[in-house]
Amino acid sequence: MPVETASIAAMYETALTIRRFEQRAIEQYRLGNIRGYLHPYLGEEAVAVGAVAALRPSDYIVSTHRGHGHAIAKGHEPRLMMAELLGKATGYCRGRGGSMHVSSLALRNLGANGVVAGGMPLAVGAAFAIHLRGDSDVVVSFCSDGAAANGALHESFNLAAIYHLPVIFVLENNNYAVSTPIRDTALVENLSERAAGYGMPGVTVDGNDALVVRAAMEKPLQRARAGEGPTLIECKTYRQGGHHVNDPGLYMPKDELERWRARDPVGILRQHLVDAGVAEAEIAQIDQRIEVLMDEAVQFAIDSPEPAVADFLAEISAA
Amino acid sequence: MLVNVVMPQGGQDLEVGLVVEWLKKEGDPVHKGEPLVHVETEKISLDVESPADGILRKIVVPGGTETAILSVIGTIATAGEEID
Repeated sequence: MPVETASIAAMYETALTIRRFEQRAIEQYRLGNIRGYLHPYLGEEAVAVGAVAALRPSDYIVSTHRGHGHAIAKGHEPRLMMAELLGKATGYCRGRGGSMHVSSLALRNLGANGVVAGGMPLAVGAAFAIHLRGDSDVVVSFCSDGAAANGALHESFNLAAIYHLPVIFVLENNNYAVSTPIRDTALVENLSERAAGYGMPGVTVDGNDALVVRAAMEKPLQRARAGEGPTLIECKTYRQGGHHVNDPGLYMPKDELERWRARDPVGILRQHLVDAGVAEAEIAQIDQRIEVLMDEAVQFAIDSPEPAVADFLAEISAA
Repeated sequence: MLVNVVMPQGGQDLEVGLVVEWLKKEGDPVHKGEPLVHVETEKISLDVESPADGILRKIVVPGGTETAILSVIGTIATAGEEID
């Protein structure tokens, strides 16, 4: 398999892993095994997959409340993710974090965040540390259209710009902030136009095609590693469902949803594989592998122990 | 094998949900993922999908009835299951 074909195959596998993980997570929620909120990344897989595919393992990401896709793209194991979602001791945060706080310093994921735009100042801080150390790593700060009118986003843009910090703001514009359409809260056609106000480049790309997203990362990465500063990449995409599992999304017009489903990010990656000459049987093997991985992930999470009460105090670092 | 259809959790720690309407009759063939029964909780109304391929063996909780979250509301008989 040529290098580029293998790369597309890996991206397809990651995107489908995210898709199946979210479907399994919803099942587990309905069975009462996951408590609290759960924000599926369904329909937005190409953004995380494309952005992270362009990174080095030593680069950082900062995630959002809709963060499972970012984590899986950054190399998190589905079974340890599922265990975290079920609040089990074997999860990434030993069951203390749950869906909205999955993180792994080893994998350089500085964490999901329950607060909209809350992760962005953290991303700027991490980039400032890289800058002070003189490293060439980059931080990808995932954010959403719901964050676009939030003060923390604008302060983060400005600080990153004036200090020429190695951040790439990957804004997932999925059309809705919970139930509010973006046209009601922004008068610009493309949110990337806002970058100009901070003296940084801004581009808008098709967020449903992972190859387009990956290609859009190239220049911003060079710029960031050369110490020239941040870039804003707006990825236009769509949430294929409500804001969270208990939001039926009735405010989303059916024809709009159908239009976006016709451009499904996992389907588009699959088509790229077919176009690259990969046989259906080979793709079916990937699909099958992921089903087995998901069965194992769910079983591992269910079989894992709850956190022990005796360990609670051990997690506190200062008395 | 008999596979249970359960009243799904549709909110944060809700205790009851309403079976609104079954979209299939007892004895109907069903496919995994196919909408089977419409339910409502305080937070959401949704179609519960069939958990397996098979036939809808029994409707345990009929439409218009409130029931505990996670209680069995119906059963699916998969291939090989004896039907009397």
